[in-house]
Amino acid sequence: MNVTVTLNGAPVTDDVTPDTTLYEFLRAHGCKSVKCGCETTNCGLCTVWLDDAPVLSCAVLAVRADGRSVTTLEGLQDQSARLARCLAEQGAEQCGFCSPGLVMNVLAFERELAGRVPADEEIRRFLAGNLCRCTGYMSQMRAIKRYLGCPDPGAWPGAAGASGPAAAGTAARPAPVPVAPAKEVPTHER
Amino acid sequence: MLSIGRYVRAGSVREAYELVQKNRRACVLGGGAWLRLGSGTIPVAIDLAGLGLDAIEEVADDPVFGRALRLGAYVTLRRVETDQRLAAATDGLLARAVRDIVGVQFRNVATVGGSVAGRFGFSDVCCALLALGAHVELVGAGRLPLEAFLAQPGRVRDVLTHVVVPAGPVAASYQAVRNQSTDFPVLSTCAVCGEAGAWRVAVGARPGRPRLVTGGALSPQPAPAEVDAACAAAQALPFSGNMWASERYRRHVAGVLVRRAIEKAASAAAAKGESL
Repeated sequence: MNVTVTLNGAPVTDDVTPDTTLYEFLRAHGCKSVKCGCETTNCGLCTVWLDDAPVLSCAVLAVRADGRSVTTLEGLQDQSARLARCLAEQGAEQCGFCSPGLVMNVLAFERELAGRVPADEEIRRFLAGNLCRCTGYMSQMRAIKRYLGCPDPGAWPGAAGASGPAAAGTAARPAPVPVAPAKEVPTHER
Repeated sequence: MLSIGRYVRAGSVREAYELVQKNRRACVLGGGAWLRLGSGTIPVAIDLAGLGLDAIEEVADDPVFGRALRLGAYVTLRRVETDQRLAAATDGLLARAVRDIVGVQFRNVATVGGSVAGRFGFSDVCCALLALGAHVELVGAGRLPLEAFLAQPGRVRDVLTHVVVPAGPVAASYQAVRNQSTDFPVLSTCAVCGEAGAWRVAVGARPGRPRLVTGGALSPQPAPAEVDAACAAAQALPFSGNMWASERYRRHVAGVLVRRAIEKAASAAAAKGESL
């Protein structure tokens, strides 16, 4: 069956079998950031955006993406750079295998927030479907909170990211916390 | 992973129904979230995408419920979780029931129709909808209470198109135990107190299909003896063991969770007072 997908802004057409998953389709077209980590539709590593909604590409048939827009991390290099630096600075990269799926879901969450500062519980709930086998959740949480401009009660008074006027869950998001230029931007292809 | 012989995008729900009747092994696709966990071959996979089944309609003159929300079979669980009309109509019950199902990315794929047509015992969606008294619309069998649909033996040969949820007002509580926060529930329970203090209490993941607790009546603000009787009735339902929990554990937990669900729903009903 012929399937045409707008992949990261460019049309891609291919002949696929009916049971080809979107995950397989994307890997075959060079999107190596999309990984399969669990084989049980649970881990979130294969997260991509289908018409801007984050989905598990291993659970979507490629034929169902026909005529639709698919975005992978390869198409979000600029948008993801600051989050990648936040993750690296907080030591949240570790083995890095889960990072592409996590980044895709955090960026989808950020869009859904529309500038609102989320509460910790809201972050945990939105990202519950992103598993990290290094269990680096604490460092990921620090990085994501910093990226989203959440108040950081643990910061030194006066330090960037210290508790400010923003109250999580209600306030508008403050200006992004400055992040030092990374020595090495983590690669998504490992 | 299941293999698929032929993929058909149906032009109408009637066409899908006829394909299912012609080929006993033909399968209507839901969200497809669990497809890769299956094995074997589906000779004909029928897709209902593009038939407008991904909408939630407000109905003012439903023949059974009056005011209702009519959910297309392809409404995703994430949409169920975030739709404000559903939240208002169900006291936030459906959002609470689906929020621990794997993750947002999974719930953007899984659908109401797939959850209900599959009649999965572990389904949080089925348990909550059963307690709400929802109905299902099928090409073939017509409209049925979900309770009757869940009780039907054998394989579903009709095409589920919609789920109709009464538009409240209700006070509700969903209580479930999971071994891990996004795993299947070991046991799920749901209590709904509707207009005129009518209660519906459901128990799911027994691990069989969800069932209503029947027996003694509950007052709008139930007396302790009434709650005890409902817990005992819940524990008298059939339970069995599997890799998640033993039969004995489930039976014990059912009593605890039914009590919590009733007490929390009764508190919510008291807080709502006249508005319920």
